[in-house]
Amino acid sequence: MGQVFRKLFDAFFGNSEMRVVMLGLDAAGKTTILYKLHIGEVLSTVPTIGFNVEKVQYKNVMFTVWDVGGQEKLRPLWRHYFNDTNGLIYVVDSLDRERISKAKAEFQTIINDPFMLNCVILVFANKQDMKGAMTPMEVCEGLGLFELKNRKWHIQGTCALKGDGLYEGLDWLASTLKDMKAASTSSF
Amino acid sequence: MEPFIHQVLTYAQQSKEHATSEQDRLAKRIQEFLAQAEMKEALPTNFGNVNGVGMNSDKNIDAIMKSTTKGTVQTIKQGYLLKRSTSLRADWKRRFFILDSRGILYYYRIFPNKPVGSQSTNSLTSTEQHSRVFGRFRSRHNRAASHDDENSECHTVDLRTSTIKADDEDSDLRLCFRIISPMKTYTLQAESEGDRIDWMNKITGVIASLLNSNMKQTHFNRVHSGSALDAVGEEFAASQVDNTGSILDNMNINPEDCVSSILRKIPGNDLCAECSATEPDWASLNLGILMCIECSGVHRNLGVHISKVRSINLDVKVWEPTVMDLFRNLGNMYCNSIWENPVQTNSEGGSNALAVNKPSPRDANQQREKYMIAKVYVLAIVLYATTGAMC
Repeated sequence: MGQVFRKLFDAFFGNSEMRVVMLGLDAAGKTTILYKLHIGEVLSTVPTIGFNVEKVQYKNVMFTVWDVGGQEKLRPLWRHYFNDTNGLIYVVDSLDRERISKAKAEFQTIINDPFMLNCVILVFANKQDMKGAMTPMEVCEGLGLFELKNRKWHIQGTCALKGDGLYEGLDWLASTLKDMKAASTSSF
Repeated sequence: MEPFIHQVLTYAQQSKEHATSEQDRLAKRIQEFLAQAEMKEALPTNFGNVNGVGMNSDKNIDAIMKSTTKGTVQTIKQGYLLKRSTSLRADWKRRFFILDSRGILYYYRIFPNKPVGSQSTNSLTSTEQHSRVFGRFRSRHNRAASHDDENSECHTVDLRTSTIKADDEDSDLRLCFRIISPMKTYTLQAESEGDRIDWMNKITGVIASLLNSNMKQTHFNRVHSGSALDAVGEEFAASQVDNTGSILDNMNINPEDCVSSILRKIPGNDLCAECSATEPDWASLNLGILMCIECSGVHRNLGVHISKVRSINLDVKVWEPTVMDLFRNLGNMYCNSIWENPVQTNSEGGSNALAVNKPSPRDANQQREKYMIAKVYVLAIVLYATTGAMC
């Protein structure tokens, strides 16, 4: 019963919920980002086998972030998290120039999935603090973001260890979500 | 005389009440102590870690699950749990849960009288353990409910896309844990603390070995043929088909059992190169060493320019013949013979600028990181020396 009241309350005060799935190749920094957002600390992480899920409250949006392991054999499981998802956070290790083409291939598979056609895309070019890291622009080109048609996307250079860029990214997600909701309600 | 008798009677009653309350209190304390003892036993598998799954893929469970591929199905754990319904009322219902060695968790409304897998409605009328007064009412209620949805007799939880969380958001929920999957979240309550930990350990172990092993096909077949996947659309089922397909394809190209067994045979590769934990599952492609999952986490922190970490079970395509050759020529023993000598503490008491103690599997990550950074410095010195000599 409490849940019902909370939903009503939230609707009244403009709070909203957003379901976000965070993907990327292994060792991109997904889990570090998740916990930096969730508790504000950098935890020492180990490779994620399975997934982590946490709620992140930012401004008046409650993000439910699913952070799914990125090893090769876990990637086929990604699609199970696509259903009913509003946003994709794709995390790229900016230092890993060798695998940017691999990252592109996986990225294209995700965004062309029928369940993901309507979701907004946020790319985190992570590990910007490292020497020799690709700039967000280079990552953009590497993933083929410029060729995307009719998709809402945004790229953000981040450093998960310091927390740089993470909230800017969430800002974009929240405002884009709000715009989309407004557009969909006005169209009815 | 009569008042006196009454007095005695009330006195007797009072003392009886007192005794029962005392007994209750003691029983509670006993329960607490038992729970604590069980917790202590169960503690080694740590749940404080970020990663819910896969940390300690329980070797026993792994072994049981591997034996299943040969045909026999064993029950890993079964018992009653309270399950919070997802309806608005969020009331608690007692369900009989079974976790078996195929990696499937399923539950019945009541204890099944037929062996595992039977889904007949006959089981409704039998073996209802707590059927005392409300038995008739309850069985009728059950029957009515089962009439509503035919398949509800046996529900299956897809563990491959599930994770376990110990702490429920509401702190007032005692003995609870949640099984979270993208489709549904189950909030379950165990009967005691030890029971809760046992369930969590076992399910975590099963999930880990499901993801690590190649049992996906058998698992999928069973789920699908049982048609017990509740609340999952056909598209989902279809997507499962081709994703198991792709996994199988990968396996045909490069059976990972071979990779891990070949890699483990290389001298020194039976132990983690950094902390000497047994059965390392992770590898550094460019350094040519095997390590445990904890150390792999630290290696990943160093960046890909220093160590490229891959799994020997979960990564498939990277294990090309050239990489395998590199690993054959290097191996933990050889690599450590180069890198560890300078960083090891000098037994003769001579001071060593780089001296750092080798971490053990129980050490914190800071200690590991310190050690690995020291090793990396050695690598830099070695490289400098060799290139300097060549110039």
